[in-house]
Amino acid sequence: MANSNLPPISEEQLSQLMDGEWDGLNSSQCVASICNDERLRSKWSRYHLIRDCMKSEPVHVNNQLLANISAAIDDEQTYSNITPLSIFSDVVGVTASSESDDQVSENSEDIHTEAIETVSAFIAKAKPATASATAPAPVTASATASATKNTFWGTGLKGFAVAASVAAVTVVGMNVWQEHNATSVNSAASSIATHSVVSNGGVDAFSLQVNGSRLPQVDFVSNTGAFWVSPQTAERVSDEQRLNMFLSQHLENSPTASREGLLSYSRLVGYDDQAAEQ
Amino acid sequence: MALPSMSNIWLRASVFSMGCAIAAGMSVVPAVWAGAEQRELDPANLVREMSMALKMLNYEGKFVHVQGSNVTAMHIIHSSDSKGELERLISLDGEAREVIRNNSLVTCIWPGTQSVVISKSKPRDLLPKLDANLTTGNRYAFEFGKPDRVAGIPTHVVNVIPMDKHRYGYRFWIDQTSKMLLRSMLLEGHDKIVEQVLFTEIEYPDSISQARFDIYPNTTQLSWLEPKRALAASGLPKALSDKVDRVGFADLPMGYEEVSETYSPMPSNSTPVSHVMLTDGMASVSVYVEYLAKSEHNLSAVGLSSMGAMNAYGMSLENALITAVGEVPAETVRAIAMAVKIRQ
Repeated sequence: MANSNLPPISEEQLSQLMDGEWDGLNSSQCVASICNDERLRSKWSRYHLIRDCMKSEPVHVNNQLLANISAAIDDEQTYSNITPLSIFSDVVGVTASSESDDQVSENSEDIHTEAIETVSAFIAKAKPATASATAPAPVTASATASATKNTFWGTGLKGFAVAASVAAVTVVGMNVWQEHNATSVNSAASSIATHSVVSNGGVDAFSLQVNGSRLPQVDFVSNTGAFWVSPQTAERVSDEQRLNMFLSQHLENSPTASREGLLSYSRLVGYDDQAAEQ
Repeated sequence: MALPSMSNIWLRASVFSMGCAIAAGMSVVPAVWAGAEQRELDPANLVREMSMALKMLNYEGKFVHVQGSNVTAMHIIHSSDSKGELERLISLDGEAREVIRNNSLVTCIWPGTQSVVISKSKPRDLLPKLDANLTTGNRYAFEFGKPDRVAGIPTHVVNVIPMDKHRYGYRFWIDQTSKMLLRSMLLEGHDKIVEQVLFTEIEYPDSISQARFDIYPNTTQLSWLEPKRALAASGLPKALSDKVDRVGFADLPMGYEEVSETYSPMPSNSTPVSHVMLTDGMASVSVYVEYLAKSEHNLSAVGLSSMGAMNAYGMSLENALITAVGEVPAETVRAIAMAVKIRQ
């Protein structure tokens, strides 16, 4: 892929080019190196996209670029899995273990880890939050704040790490939202989730209904009826007839029962002597 | 080229937002109008109109009555003319229980147990009207809820909010045109629904045949329970009046007042019973005092019993068994039973 006639270009030099810090660089040679290296070319276009996004400039997205981004995201093993918040620490662990496979420099690894830590801290804060949609905003703000300290593309990789982490937050945030809604992670596990997720003891709405289970025991209409019970023992009162006599006299003489007319008698008609005995 | 296309977008956007505004306006204007109309109404007055509509209208419909986990569907027919009111309530589930009420009698029929309970009906006009000072008595606050729809009919919603724990809250859904009660809810505390009535269909016919209120011929085999004539406290000779006016109260829950007292044997036995009616304007409680020696008391009657919104509290004294029954919270029937003082 890379043209062997040209000296390899480092990530540092790529950042310098992006920031316009061309002093000490053979710009034409660097450009030629980038053009001949597919990996650097895609990085170059991704960096430009990130810069445009962070500066709120119009972004010209074409299908090819989308395809490239999708491919790049697929390559980024760390960020491509949907992972519930409860095992987010595992995500960081996965991130750390996958660093060795990554092509980024030693320096960027530190920055990357730092960004992940920032995100972890944020998620720790945002854990009780319900709306995932708001989750990425503070991270973007912190990324912008850090970007103002250094030259923009001096922190380019950091910016990318943060941007990628935002994607992770969004993915994790989705899971927070889903868990908050008491839905099983199974629903989200459709195509991309690779982690086997264990329910952490919360109420799992999907497990309430068991296939083929018998219906709960419910009285038939002819067996039901309102009857007097003692709240202390939840048992039927033995002298119901007496209480009903009192109730019927009460309804007839009540000045307020007349407000509801015969509707108040539904209390008495609802009473089912036979049902109460069953 | 860019400018015209931009202005085109703006033009489209303006037209779109105008369309949205018009669409929104179409839905907002009636809501504002309905709100304005509702503001002119007094919620307490609407509840009074609702009581009148329940008495004065001809109506026939089906409703669902919910008490706790028990649900019963019922059919109601009500007719009102210059001769008075006729009502029939039929349970559509289980045993075909029914209540028929005319100007003189209330007949409760339980076909399964072959029994009929008859009691003399009171002319409703003589019953006290909803207390005019109800809204100023610090017992309830009246307010409108968001308009709703019941049985396909637009309704006003009135919330009657209790000011202390001694009464339930009420929510009434009232037909905006006829003022008929289409749904009611009895609420305890913030959100516990103790009883509900909900019409699923209702019609207002011009007239209803009187034959529809007749007791079915096959009920002749039923056993009839008829109460002895009750003695009311008013207009009686002094000696008898003393006998009637025997029940007093030491410390009633706030807002509850005695409105009537009668003295009569109960239909089921010959024990003389004093029956005192108390009300706070919305809810009412009956206090029954059975003059029995303690040895004759049925101890299962002592303590609290409940059926949906109705609560009863029995208390055994040396020479009397006191039972308070009413559509009020358990604590209220207990407090009222405890407050009874029998004059010897």
